[in-house]
Amino acid sequence: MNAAKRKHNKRHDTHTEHHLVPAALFLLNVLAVHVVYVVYAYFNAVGNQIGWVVLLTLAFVALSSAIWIKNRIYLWCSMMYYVALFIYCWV
Amino acid sequence: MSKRAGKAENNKKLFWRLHHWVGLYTGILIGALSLTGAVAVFIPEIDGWIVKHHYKALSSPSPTGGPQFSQSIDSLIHQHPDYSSLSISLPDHSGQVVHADVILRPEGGNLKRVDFFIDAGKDRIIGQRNHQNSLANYLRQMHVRLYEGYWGRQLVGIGGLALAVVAITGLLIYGNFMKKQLWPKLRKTRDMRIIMADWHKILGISALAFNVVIALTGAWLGLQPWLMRWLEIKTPNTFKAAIVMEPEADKAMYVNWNEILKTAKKEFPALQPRQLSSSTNGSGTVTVRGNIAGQIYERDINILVLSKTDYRPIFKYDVREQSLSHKFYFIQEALHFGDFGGLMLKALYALLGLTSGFLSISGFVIFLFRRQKKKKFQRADAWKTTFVYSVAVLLFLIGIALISLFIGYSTASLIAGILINTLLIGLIGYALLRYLFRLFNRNHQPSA
Repeated sequence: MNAAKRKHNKRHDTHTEHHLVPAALFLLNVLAVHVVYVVYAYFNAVGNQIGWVVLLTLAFVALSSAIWIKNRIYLWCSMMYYVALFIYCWV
Repeated sequence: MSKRAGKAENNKKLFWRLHHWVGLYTGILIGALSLTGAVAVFIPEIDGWIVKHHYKALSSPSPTGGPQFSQSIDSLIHQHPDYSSLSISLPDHSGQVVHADVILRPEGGNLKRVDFFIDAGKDRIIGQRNHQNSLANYLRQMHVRLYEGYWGRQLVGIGGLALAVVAITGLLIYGNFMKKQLWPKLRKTRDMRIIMADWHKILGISALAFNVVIALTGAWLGLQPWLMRWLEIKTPNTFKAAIVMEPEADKAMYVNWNEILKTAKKEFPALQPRQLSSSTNGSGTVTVRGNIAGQIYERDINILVLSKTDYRPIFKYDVREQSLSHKFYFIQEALHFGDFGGLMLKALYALLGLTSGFLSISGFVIFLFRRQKKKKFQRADAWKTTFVYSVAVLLFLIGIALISLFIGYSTASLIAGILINTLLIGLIGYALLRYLFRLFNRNHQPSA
């Protein structure tokens, strides 16, 4: 096995690439809409809660950077963080 | 290969087949709906711009701060005693006009729906248009029912269902097709099939959740008339007031709209009134419809019904106080059209919505390139075929728009109906013949 192939295999984690990244992208779609909605509500004095804007922006940054970095633990943590926020927000 | 692994492999083959065939047969519909949907999210903005710049209809500042239109509505009622329905849309922003949507049914004449513009500052009618021939109506009808009045809406619902199937099966076969490929890396090649396949996978998985939501809500909205009939679901906020007078007396009755708005504010403070309608059936009522700020529900579903005689409330529907099933029912349209987060959200919806259009085109290109391998098919033919289909869809959309705007809605609807149904019969006939031909070939093949 040559060095380039070894490097590629090291970088390619099937579980992360085939399951965690799609799951994180799925949540990122929902989160993108959620962030825009909360920011709109904040600036239109509908839901005057800066806390939600901050928490969801943090979730957005965490989830997008986790997808970029592709660290398994980071992906899980950022996904759980947003799922917890989502459940708390709507239930 | 173990029995379990074999079963998983068979499932993946089935998912791939589903993705392939459903995508191929409904891709053109998904592509058209993606394009019209991306524009349809901006209907209120586009219509506002047209009213302001094309019809030069603007409101002057109101002396009281609120919109003034009572005298204009009264004069409209006296000018058109044959009206059968009256609905008033209040402006969203200052400077916009009040719209009075009046349906006229002259004796022996054809039904006509006229949209009158009222200067909300001076309480004066400053213009009018035929509602059905407007661009806003074209954009909505094209996305909602492809301009086909008979079963266009259900066809769009089937398109939504198909999009859900291709999105979910796409997710299930994603791993198989990515193999060792990293997201979002594109393979370095000049092979157009591989480039298209890479973009197809990357964009498909990146906008999956959005497309699934759009697909499922679209399927529900499109198939709603059938599903509601089959499952015996009733529209949650319907209210039928008792008939208390003659319809003619009801229609001629003067309504002080300022007083109506004041009562609405007192009885339902959270309601942002957007639409007012006056009864014509003898119930002697006025219905105030509107939104509640910060809520993600269909537009104008909160209702306050007042009596025309003494303005006392008769019925109130506040979505916040309703059961989960009501909330679920009314969240569908808001989620589908994304009108709960301002222009930014609409732009995001339009952008993500266009991905399904790109996916249907890229999927078709991949299919043609694959076929090219099997049959002796020129590379240029794949592009030519894709180009012809895309231009045909655009020509259909533009042609129907021009006919609707300059000739009339009914002519446009008739032509669209003929084209769509011919295409549909052709497609089903082709698929059926193809299937029968293959069956015949299989049965008449000499056994080895």
